[in-house]
Amino acid sequence: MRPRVLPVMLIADEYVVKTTAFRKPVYVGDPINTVKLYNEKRADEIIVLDINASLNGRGVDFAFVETVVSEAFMPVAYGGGVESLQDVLRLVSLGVEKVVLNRALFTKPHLLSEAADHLGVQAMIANMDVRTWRRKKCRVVSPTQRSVTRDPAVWASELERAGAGEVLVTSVDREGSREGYDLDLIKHVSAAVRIPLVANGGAGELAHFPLSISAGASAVAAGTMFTFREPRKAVLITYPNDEDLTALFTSAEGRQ
Amino acid sequence: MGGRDELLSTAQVSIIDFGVGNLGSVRNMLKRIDVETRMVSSADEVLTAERLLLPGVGAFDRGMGVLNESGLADAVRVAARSGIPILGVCLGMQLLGNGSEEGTSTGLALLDTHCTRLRPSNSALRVPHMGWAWLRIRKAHPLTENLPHPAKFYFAHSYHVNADETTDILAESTYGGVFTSMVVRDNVAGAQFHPEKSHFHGMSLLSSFAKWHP
Repeated sequence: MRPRVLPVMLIADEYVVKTTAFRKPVYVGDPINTVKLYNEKRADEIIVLDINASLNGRGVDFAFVETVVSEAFMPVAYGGGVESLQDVLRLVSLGVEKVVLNRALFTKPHLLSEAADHLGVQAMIANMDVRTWRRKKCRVVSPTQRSVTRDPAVWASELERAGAGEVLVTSVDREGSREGYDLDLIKHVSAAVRIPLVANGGAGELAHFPLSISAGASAVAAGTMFTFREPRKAVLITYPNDEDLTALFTSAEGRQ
Repeated sequence: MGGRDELLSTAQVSIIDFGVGNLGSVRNMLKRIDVETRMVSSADEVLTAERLLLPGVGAFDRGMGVLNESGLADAVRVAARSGIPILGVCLGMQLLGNGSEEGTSTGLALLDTHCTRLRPSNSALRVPHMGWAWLRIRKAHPLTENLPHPAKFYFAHSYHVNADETTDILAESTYGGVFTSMVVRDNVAGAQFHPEKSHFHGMSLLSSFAKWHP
């Protein structure tokens, strides 16, 4: 079976948006329509991240998550504003397959283990936002906006021990750039853990996917690449079909 | 699909709510395919069910602990003996068996299975197994006869079921080695994957379960 390709849906105030290096959110479209389009395209699974939930202090918008998840025919990973075990359990009971923790990894360090004890590691994704990767001197960005100088590989290993079933590695610098994934970062982090690594940030074309897998990722995520909106038109989704994806990864293997 | 399928009645599916489940997705998908559902959380409700679906995520011992403490474990065993169709999904499939390497509890013992950790022979394949995999159907059965071939489903697990009786194996899948992905004996069946998150194949399987008369 070929590696998974995961569309990322960034949500701000119940709209789908896209950002560039985490800034300048641009309206993309309606989340329900977007999910329906991903259903039609048979997307492997989707990652929904509410980028305002922590900032606005309201936490998880459960009613909204429920409407989005009920539409999806494939697994949904949700992150944004998750602060407590109660949040995690409630999300799973609504149909969320996996919960993404980001800010809580710093503010509530026991939450990941607690949640993994209850649900199993396969329900927990630990996200790390990585900035300014220079050889080994990269910084994992703390959501409290004080960047923490931490080696992403060491951090990933700690997260694995704490109960993460997958680690989502997001290159903030590359996000929205379409230049390709940060392959050095992926190599560095994937070598430090045994759980699957999902690469995120930088995908611009299909050819970037097999490169990321060869660097050690088990799955690839992309936001900007799959969604775009022309002025005065509805959101367009360009998720490739299964045959094309299978051929993409197979031919890449053949070339190695 | 012919006239006969329409004549086979679709019974109500009772989904066991024992606090460790992903009930939302299961209920949503069954609703989507027009299958009547109800959530059950007591032994009495289990005993009046027409057919049972046992979902579940998480650790084996925790799941069995809740089932035992609530009296649901014994109720499910009685229900199974009475012949009503039962489908265990994900952890639910694992709990139908005798036990798991993951813990020390005894399972429901409705099937001769025990769970061991996934140990893919290919080191590039990581655990937990997260993602889609094909099903290789091993025998003809009403639960799988309407599936397109090949069919793929979404898996999210670190442990897998081993069947002591090979005749109980309904389907197998591959992840660095072959593992059993579906089991069935008489009226008790199990699926390791998430049918409720597996697009149209999942719908087809759940629909077959709703119409299954073992």
